[in-house]
Amino acid sequence: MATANFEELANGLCELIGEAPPALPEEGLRGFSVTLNDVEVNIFHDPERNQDCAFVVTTFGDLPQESRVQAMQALMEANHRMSISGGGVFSQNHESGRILFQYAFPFEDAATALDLYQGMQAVAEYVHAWRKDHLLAVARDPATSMMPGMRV
Amino acid sequence: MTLSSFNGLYAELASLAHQEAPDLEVNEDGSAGFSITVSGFPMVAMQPPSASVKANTAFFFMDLGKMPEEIELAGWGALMQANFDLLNDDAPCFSRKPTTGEVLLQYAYPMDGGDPAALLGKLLDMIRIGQLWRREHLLRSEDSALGRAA
Repeated sequence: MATANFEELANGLCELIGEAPPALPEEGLRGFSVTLNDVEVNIFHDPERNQDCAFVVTTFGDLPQESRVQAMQALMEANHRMSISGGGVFSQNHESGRILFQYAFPFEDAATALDLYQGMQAVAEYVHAWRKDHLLAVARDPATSMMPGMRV
Repeated sequence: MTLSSFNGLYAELASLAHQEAPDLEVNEDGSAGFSITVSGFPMVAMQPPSASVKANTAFFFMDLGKMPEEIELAGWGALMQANFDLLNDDAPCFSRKPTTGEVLLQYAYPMDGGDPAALLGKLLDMIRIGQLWRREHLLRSEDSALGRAA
C-alpha cells in the first residue's frame, strides 16, 4: 500500500521489521532509527527542508585510517555514477566523521514501506561488503548494487 | 521532455551565458549533450539514451577543477560533509570525475514537469558554491550558498 505521509511510512516500516511503531511528535522535524542487519538507518522528515519526502540516512562507518583519501575518492566517484543511474549520495557526518549514504524517499502514489524496506536491505548488504573493502565502490558499482530495490 | 526541449534548454543557457549555440548533435541512441561555460565554470549537460529509465532527466556537471594536493584529506572530507548539508530530493551534490579526478558539482534536472526558471536558479546556486569552493577549498555548513541550494 502506498504511503501518503511520514507516519504511514514509519508505521509500515516498523511492522515489516517487527518493531513497535515509533512515538513521533505531530509536527516539525521528527524521525527514528532502526538497526537492520547490524546497520543503523535513520529515517526522518524535515518539513522545512522538504514536505513531500522522508530522508533515509544509512551509517556506513569509519574511514580506514591508512587510506582515508583513497576511500573518499572512491565514494565521490560513486556519487558521480549514481547521479546518472538512480540517486543516493555518499556523505560524511560532521561530528563523528563516519561515512553516510543518504537519499530522499518521496511520498508519492506508488511508494510503499516495502519499497523502503527492500532498499534498506540492499544498502545494508552493501555496507557489510564496504566495511571489508573500503575501495569496494571502484569494483562493485553501488548504483547497481543498491539502487534496484530503492525508489529514488 | 523531448529532445527539442533539451535543445531549448541548451539554447536558453547559451543565451544567458552570451555564447553561440551550435546545432545539438544527437547520437543514434537518442543521447545528446553540450558543453557551456557559465561564469567561468565549464559545465556539461547530457541527456541519456532514449531507452534509459532516466531519459527524461537532464544531468548537469560543473567542473570545479583539481583538489589541491596539500589539503586532499580535509578537502574531500569537507565536500562529503557539504553533501550531507545538501540533503534533499532536488539538490546538487559533490562528486569526483573518475577519468580526471577533478571535483564536480552535479545536478539532475527532471525534465518532465520541470521548471526552467527553477533550473536556472539551481545553476546559479551551483555557481555560488563553485565560486566559494575556488576561493577557500574548504566549505562549511555555515556557508549560506549551501543552504540555498539544499
